[in-house]
Amino acid sequence: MLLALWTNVDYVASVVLFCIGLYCVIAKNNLIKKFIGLNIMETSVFAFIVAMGVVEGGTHPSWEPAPGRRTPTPYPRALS
Amino acid sequence: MSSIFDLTLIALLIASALLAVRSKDLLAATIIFSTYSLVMCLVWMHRGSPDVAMTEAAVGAGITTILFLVAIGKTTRLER
Amino acid sequence: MKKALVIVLLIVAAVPLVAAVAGLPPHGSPSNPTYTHVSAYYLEHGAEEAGAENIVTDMILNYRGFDTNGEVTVIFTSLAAVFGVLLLTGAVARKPAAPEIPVSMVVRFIARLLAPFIAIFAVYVILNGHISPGGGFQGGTVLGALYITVSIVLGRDEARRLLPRGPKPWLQAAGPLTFVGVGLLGLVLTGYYLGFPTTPALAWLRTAMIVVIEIGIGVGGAAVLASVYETMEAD
Repeated sequence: MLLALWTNVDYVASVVLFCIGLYCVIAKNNLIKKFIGLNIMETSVFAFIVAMGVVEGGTHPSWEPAPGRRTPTPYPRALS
Repeated sequence: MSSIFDLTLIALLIASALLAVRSKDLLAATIIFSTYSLVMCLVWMHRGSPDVAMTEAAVGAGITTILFLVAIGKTTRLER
Repeated sequence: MKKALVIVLLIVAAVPLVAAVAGLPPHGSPSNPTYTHVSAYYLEHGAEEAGAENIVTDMILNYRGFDTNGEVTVIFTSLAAVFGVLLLTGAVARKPAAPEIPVSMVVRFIARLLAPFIAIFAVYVILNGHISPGGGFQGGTVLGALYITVSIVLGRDEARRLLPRGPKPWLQAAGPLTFVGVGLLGLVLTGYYLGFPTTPALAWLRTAMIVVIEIGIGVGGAAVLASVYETMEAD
């Protein structure tokens, strides 16, 4: 379990950031603070999506030649 | 498995998110949030998705911060 | 009491998330499901099939063009919402405009020096979006940020000349309008809304359609961001 978490430490970081944002949205009364929390949640989800596309030793899909190109599928999700 | 660079960026991210959430001064929270966006942009660049990183650098660190500053200028600076 | 409730709620949210993350396939391995199914097809055929060398652009404008069409409309709608909240309540009309704060000479000089370079970079990002990373959204936000900088540093009136009253609504609506226009062109050519011609002889047309959409999104995004700032700031 702990080893799996260590391997997926990028995903765990996203979860931690998501929880920080959620705390901010729930517990704070100020609207600007709530919006900052919402933004943190949003970027953490994008970070998770981008992390899923990472391949060991890969580069951006449009840069050739590369040993392995990274998955392009998740990025457009984060762009929209 | 992640490199030291990755782990440093993740630590910076979590620290800046916590500071932005905890700060009582909304101006300080906004500036720390723009730092958070910049670090997040570095993370995405490092993970090989420059498209998302460019969007985040322009929107998150630039325009969101400016709109927050305008909103704070129109209302109060301290969180109650 | 409330604090305890919040902590309990956070734990309830965090435990399933962490458990799910621990069960995901290892990060970065090439045998991940995200890498083996549909992405492999995109990487293999995207560049010649969809019309742009940058596969990310292929995906947002061609394979998922309909989705992006909706998103461009959402950006335009956000502007309408800001107008609705700030203008229709009469907050802008009643008050005189806030006084402008003088800016230091150093900032003014640097902004004047850098503005042309920022503008060229933004146009490059928009026009080169089908080859290198970038595109309409990215270049458009850079252009919008440039407008905001000009408005802060050189004054409101100087900035207003960049966005004249006459063509302003058309510029703000440029994103959805070009998207729908290209979509209707696709309807005429292929029989499907947003259909891109698939014959190899028409490869130039596919690329041209993508470039036109990028320009529309860039101009529209920049105009929307600029006028959101203008409206909020003038209040």
